Amino acid sequence: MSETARDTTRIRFPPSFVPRLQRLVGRLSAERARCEGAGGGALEGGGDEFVGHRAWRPGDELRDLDWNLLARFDEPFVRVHRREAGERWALLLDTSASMGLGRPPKLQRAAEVASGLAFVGRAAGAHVRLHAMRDGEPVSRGLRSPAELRGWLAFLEGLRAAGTGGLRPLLERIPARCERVFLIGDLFDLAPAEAIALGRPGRGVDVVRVLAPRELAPGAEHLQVEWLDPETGEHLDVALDGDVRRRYERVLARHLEDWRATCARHRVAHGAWSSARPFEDLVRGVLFR
Amino acid sequence: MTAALLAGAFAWPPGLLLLAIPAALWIAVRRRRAPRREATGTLELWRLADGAAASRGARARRRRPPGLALLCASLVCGALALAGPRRGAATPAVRRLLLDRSPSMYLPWNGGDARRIDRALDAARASLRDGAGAGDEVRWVAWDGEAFVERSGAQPPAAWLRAPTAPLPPPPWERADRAGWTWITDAAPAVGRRRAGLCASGGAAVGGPVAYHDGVRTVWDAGGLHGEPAAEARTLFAAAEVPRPVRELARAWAAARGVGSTEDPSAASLRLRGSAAPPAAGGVVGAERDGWSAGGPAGALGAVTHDAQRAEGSETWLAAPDGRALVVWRPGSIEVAWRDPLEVAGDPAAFAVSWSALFDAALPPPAGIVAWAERQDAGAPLSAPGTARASASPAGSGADGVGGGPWSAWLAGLACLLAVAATRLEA
Repeated sequence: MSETARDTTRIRFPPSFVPRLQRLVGRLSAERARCEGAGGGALEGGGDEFVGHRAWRPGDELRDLDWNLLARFDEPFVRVHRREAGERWALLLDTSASMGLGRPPKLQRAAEVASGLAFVGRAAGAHVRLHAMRDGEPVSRGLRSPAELRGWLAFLEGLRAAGTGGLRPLLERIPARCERVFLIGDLFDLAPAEAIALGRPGRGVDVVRVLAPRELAPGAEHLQVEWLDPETGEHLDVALDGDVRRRYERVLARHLEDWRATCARHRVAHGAWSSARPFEDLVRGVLFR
Repeated sequence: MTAALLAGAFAWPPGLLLLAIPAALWIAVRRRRAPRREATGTLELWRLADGAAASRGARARRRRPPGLALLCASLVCGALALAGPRRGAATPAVRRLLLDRSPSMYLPWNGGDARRIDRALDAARASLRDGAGAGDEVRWVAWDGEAFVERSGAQPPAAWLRAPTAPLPPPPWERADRAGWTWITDAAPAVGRRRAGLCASGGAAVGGPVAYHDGVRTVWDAGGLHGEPAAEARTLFAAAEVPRPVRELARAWAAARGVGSTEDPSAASLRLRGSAAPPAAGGVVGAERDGWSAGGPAGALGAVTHDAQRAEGSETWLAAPDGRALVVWRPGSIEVAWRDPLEVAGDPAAFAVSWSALFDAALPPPAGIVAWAERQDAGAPLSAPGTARASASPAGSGADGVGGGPWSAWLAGLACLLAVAATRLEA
């Protein structure tokens, strides 16, 4: 499908998306089953059902450490518990104007990723609900059955990248009982502290950042660029020479590293991807990091 | 017109095409540097990277390319230096091409089909087309034996390309040694040439008849000079309308010169005609010349009218006090307006000598007779530029140096300075 001729603020799922999504869900569900035995990262959780051990990794809580195994083998292992069926997942999708940027648009890719996560979660028995802003008002859509695929996609196609809403207005929409929260967007309107504040015992938080390719690596074809923020209307003339380009890349790397380090300290998963990557890569990266 | 102006203003106008390089460079870089408006979600990061405060709606700084401007200026100067501007040559000037119409010019060139005049004209045309001053107005000049005759046009008059019936002398070269003139001849004249240009065809010696006398042609060839019987004799036709004193004198002159008589005017070498019109009322028309005078009734001239024949080389030999032509001649033809009875006064010998000189001038030589001096080796082809707006021969630019002399040197130097400055600025 052509990514250039259509309205980039809209979400349009091509006919090939549904079979791709179904293949992905099937594959990831199978892998999930295998990972449970080995302690797959994203599928493990704070449930009570013990499923096995895996090697200790930096960031794991010491309370999960199996002291008996440590004493016996002199190697750190953590206990892995299977999450219980019926846990609640909340997917927060950023639909601010900046999500309409990129090729493909960030919103398009973010919606595809949200669909992938939702259907994998549904296949695992989770109750999934997606929250977004539409016409300045928060809207949500639950996914109770794979049969709701068409309605789910139609709901997403009704969203549009516009306004300055971002994710912040959606944070309060997260229900008190929610075991998994996914923040999906570019997250430039959010501070790391706001994301980690969502974490609490029994709840995992995943930050899924989707950035436009030119946001990750600005092109070199123009020396003078007038950058425009579609949300605030502010603009900035930049002489895009080698020095400025390198400084930008350093600033961006520092920004992402700040997010990653902060999230890691608070057991919040964080990942940033280019919208040019296939959505399957992003979903797999989120669930298996 | 533009091409003509450029050709006049620059020694090598194609060099101006190089101006496209700095123009294209300037446009390309300006387009590349022209701010492109692009939306981003990372404006704050760009602000941090750029280190400049963004302002709402304010025109932000734009980086000027001084090095680029200097580089383009350097390229412009370089292109102009290569084209070679010439001082004071912005408007087309008149270039006079003096065509030598002496008999040697109509001889074959090195035994080929082309003649010396053709080769010399080819060289002149090449200089007009390619050389400096290619856009100048061209005027063709020839010497008619008494004065320079001038014609305009891209090509010389067709009549000049045909050998004259009566041999013409070479032009007085010393009078034609002027700026803006080019001599078109076969051999470089012996006179000193300081200002005029030269296009000489050269050409090997051409053997052939060099003289005719009394039924015998003198032929010059590799074996030297030798005589041979003339294949055809020259004849005189004297019409009955011609006054008797003139007619009798003509017959006596013909007998002395070995010229036969004929009653067929179309076969005659020299036709002596009278006035076809009856005498006009008004009495006797008198005239005098060379110490004699005559008077008699005169009619209008017929076949050889003054005005009609002037362009073909005829001229009035004798005119009445009121300006009316009485005797008009051209090679091969003499027409007399007087009719009988013609009263001749003064010295009879002067009358005879005067008319005999006219008959000698009007009697064309036998075909193919070219003087021995005209048939000599003309040497190698030669082209030389003149001063100022003179000949622009292919060798002209070489003689003047590439470009336009000091202007080119100054421009080239300026181009180097600007290039160095641009390099330092960019560094």
